[in-house]
Amino acid sequence: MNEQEQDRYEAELRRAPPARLPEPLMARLRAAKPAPEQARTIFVRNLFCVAQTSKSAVPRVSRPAGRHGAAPTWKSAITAAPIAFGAALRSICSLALTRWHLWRWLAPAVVVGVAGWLVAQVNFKPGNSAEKKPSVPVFGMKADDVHVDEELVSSYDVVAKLPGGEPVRFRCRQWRDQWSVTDTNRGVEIVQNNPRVEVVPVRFETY
Amino acid sequence: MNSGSKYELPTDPDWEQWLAQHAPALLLFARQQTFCEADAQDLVQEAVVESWRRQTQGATPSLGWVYATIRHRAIDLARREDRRAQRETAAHLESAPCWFDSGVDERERNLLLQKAMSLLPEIHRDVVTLKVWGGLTFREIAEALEIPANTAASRYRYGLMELRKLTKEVFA
Repeated sequence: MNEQEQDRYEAELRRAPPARLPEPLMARLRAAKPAPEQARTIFVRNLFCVAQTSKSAVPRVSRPAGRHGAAPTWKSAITAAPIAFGAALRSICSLALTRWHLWRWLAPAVVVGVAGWLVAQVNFKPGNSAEKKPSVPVFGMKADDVHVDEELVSSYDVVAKLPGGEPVRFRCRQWRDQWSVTDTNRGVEIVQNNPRVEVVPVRFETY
Repeated sequence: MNSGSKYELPTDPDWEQWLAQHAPALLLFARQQTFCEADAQDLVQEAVVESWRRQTQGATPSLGWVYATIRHRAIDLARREDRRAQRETAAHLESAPCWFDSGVDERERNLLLQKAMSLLPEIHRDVVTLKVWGGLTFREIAEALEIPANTAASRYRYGLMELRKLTKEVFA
């Protein structure tokens, strides 16, 4: 097939144009016209353009900064600040409203994140942590003297009778266990006393 | 079509004009990519809206891009609904809507053309459709189908020859 034949054949094919769109589809497409939601891009452009001039809030194409280009001055920037703030606020509102598909997952994610942070704050607060609360204030204490002692306070016997009438003797001893830890460098001495009773049954034969 | 400021969003006349000009060819391409008319229409709508939305400067989207979007979506759809597509293939080939616009006289001829097109290998049919009815350049076709432009040109040549053989009686 040479070029002429190819052109002729293409023309023949083009005589059969693609079928027109079904009316329902056309209606759908008309309705689906993209909304003006390039919010992020326009937002940045708005800010830039408003900072350049306060006379018009209409977004303008930035001019090249040539020799005669209008360089932004402090005065114009200060004048433009409220307008820029307004434009920013409008853009943020527009972004929040139009990007609902973003907020659809972002909002629950934020809620979950905040809840997690609160739970972490409550559970892992240093004051509430039981394991971090030392029972003995050691403060890096290094004991240089440790005493462990026991003292017999009293000793006496008690006689009782079993249900069968047999007499039984109990030997009772009262002890006082004592330990002390001393850190002379820090001037700390910790003393603890524990009373203890020892009861031993003794048969009369043994006694 | 798109006049005025570079940052203006599409106005109603722009949108409608663009649709009138390109949507039939887009639908033709989508019909060839799917087996179901409803899927084809959905593909066109999704691709058109997505392509327009991505135009940050408000310009009309690249046609190659729109065709590429249709193709990618069709591939995704086929992967997702492979079984359903296979099941519906037979049913829909018989009752497929006519791909070409035709009056009473040309109806028979266009149906034969549609049949011949459906007999073409897919790689050739895509290029022929995009070139003849989509009006794309080989460069745009290469962009849409993600192939080199030379490959697009050679596929077009082979596809056209094959189609000519198949439609010998139609265009005699």
